[in-house]
Amino acid sequence: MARKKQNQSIKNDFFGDIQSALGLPPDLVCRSLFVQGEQTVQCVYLESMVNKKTIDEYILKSFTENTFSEGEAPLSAESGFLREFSFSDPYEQLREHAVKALLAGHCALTDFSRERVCLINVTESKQRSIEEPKSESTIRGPHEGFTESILTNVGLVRKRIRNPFLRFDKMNIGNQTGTTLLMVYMENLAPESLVREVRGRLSAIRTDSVLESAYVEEFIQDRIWSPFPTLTNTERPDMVAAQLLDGKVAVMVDGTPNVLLAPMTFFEFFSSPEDYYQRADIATFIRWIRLISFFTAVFVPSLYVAATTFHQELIPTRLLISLSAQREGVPFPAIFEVLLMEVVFEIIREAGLRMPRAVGQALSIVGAIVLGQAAVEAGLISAAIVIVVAITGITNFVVPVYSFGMSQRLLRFSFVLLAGFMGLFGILCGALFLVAHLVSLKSFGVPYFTPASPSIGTDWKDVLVRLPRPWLDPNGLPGYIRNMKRKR
Amino acid sequence: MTNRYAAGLFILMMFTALLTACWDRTEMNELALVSMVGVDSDPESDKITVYYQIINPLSGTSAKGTSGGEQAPVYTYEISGSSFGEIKSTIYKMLPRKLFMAHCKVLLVSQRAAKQDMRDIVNFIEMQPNGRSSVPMLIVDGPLSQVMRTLTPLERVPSDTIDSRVDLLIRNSLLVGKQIKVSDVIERMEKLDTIVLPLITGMTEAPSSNSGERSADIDANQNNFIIRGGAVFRDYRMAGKLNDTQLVWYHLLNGDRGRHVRQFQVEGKQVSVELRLVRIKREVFWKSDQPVVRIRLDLELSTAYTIEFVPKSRNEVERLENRLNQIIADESLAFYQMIRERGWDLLSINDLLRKQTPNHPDIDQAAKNAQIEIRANTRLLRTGSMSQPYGGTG
Repeated sequence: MARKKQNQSIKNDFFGDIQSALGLPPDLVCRSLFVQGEQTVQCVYLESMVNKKTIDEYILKSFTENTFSEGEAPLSAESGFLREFSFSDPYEQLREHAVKALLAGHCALTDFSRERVCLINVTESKQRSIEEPKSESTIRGPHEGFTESILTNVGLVRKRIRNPFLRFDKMNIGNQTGTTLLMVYMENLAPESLVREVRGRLSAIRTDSVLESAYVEEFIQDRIWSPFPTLTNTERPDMVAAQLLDGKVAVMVDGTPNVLLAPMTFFEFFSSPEDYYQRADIATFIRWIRLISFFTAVFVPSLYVAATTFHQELIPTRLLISLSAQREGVPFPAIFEVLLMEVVFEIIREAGLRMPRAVGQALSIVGAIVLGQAAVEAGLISAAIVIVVAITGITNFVVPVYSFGMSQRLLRFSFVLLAGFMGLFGILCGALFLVAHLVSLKSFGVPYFTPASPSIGTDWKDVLVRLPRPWLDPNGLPGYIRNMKRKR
Repeated sequence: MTNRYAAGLFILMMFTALLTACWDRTEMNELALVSMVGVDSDPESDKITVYYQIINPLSGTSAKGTSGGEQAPVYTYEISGSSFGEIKSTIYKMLPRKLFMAHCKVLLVSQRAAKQDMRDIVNFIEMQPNGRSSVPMLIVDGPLSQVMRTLTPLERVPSDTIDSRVDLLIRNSLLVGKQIKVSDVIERMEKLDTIVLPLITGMTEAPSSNSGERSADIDANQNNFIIRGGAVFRDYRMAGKLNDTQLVWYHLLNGDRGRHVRQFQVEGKQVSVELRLVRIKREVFWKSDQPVVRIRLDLELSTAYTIEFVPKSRNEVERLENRLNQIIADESLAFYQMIRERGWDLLSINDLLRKQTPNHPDIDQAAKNAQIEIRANTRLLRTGSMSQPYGGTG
């Protein structure tokens, strides 16, 4: 008797209940099949998330031709393609599962003749095609970039590593968003302790929403109060593949093309996958350019301030005369000049990002030149400052990882302030603090400043210089990954 | 715990106030960049005059990147007083910027001041908080004010011209020695050495201090100054002068390795020869209680600059070498006799004897009576590219 009553309520109220649970969405569709005036099948789905062709041609058509049965399902139940509930299951549970499934792009098929509800995966997410990543473009090497679809991203990695040890551990994070996360690693290469650590940190995340991998990054990074990133993110599948083959762990987040990679050390931010697509001598040269650019971006404005306000005796006489001539009539102290120009430059850069693309580029270049030139003409700042700011601005973009460039910007401002207050002594104090901070930092248990401290001799083959491939260990993992594996 | 950290941090930050920091900050345009200092002292009135030559930054490039036009590249400030301390406090009666001595390149001392006592002068230089004692010291033959007010051609800043001329002379001649910095002077005077500093002389009676007029004048010998001769110093006082010929022997016998071209008379012909000292050996031995100092000079010769006579055979080369050995030994011996008569121990014989026989009862007397043997050994290494200079004889 009770069973009959439940069957009746499913027939009459099921669609209505789902509709009210989802708040009368405009894309909710209910299609029914009638045989001799009797409703035999009801198919409910969210039109915006499904492939209607699949529903029409494979599911509904199979009912009209009477071929849809459990045994003939295209895929097994484990795959999530088909989940089946009987009418005898608790109604509340049935409805809850159906609502979740609809939101994930499934359709809920109520088969009245067999008294069951099938949840069938007919997802078709809207996504852009694979394009070259805009922030990490390359001259030589693959031009593919990740997309917002996690499955596409999985495919892009699989395409590069055709290996049965490649693992994708799935998790859902975000109480409200229920975002899919994939922890990717090579089971035979990645140290177990590292995989455990990353998994532990990921499962400890308690949050309502994850809309981008940066949400995850903030939860799993080692230290909040540090200007340096302990994870890196990339849109390039070749970079992810290279790092996975180095025994590292990647975290993919559905809905974003940015994939996280851990652990990262300080010196790894100066290397890029392109280093391995070029000849070794050129790659080494470029790596040195990056290192020089880092020091230039961080220290040049502060050294300028320190030398011109505290240590004029350090400047060669002719340069001092020239700088002094430029400063004649300038009303502000050097530190104020530098800070003013640096802030203006940051504003122009930020505005350039937000402006429509066609205007943005013009604004950033012309804005900087015109503003700098005008400020010099007006006697507000000296010409040397414009050069200093321009050099630091350009060198800031040399480092391959954008987030590392951001930390350089923060450091630059603190060093300018230190130089303005205490001259070279201040810069020295700041540099010592910085080194102390760097050696104390860890990324997922790996000392951040390795291979310099602690020193790992074999890793020097690929830090300041990039030795030719035949001289590098063909199966070589980074020293710190080897150490982690050995500890196991 | 947090409070203790905060308190600790606060105390540390308070300590930074004690550091030479913000309050020590000086912008570049608050500085008067001193390029040259001149010191004069009048023995009659006991008045000291100090000249500061200050660089005018605007004469080169201005803030807007255009030339400063007709502005003088340097300004000379003249301050007089009865002591150096007084001058230090009265300078700002005239000078609107803070004296900055770190870029001073030359120290000039007038001859009359050098003849009195230079102790106060070197102390004055050493006293400057940001001063340097690694600058060359030159003695001005003639009025100091004239040299301090001369604008030089080619190098806009006069101290640059002196600095670079001294450098070039050290490398290309035997007229100026290496040890002429203020610090060398102090060190060697304290060791009771006798030293020689270069002399500088103004070339006109009424120098033009107008830079516009100066830059329009093609004759670089007008309104200029010249480095010529040397001043001999003993115990911080100028004792006499050496001319250019004597300076060559002085520097050669003291082991300076600069190249120098000189004309010699060989077999009735004039030959210009470039000399370069390769090795000098000085040894002392005693002959009947009298010290004998034997100096052996090994020299390289080059006749690359000669147009009068080019040796063409092994025989001629040997004859030239032998003759030059003789001339060099004779002339340097004559130079030694001259300085001995004047009582100048310019070859540091005293020092040499003291090192060898530290227990000798009267080194000074022994040094005065010392016999000198000079032997030169020359080798002609380069003969130049012309075997037959153009003579117009067809």
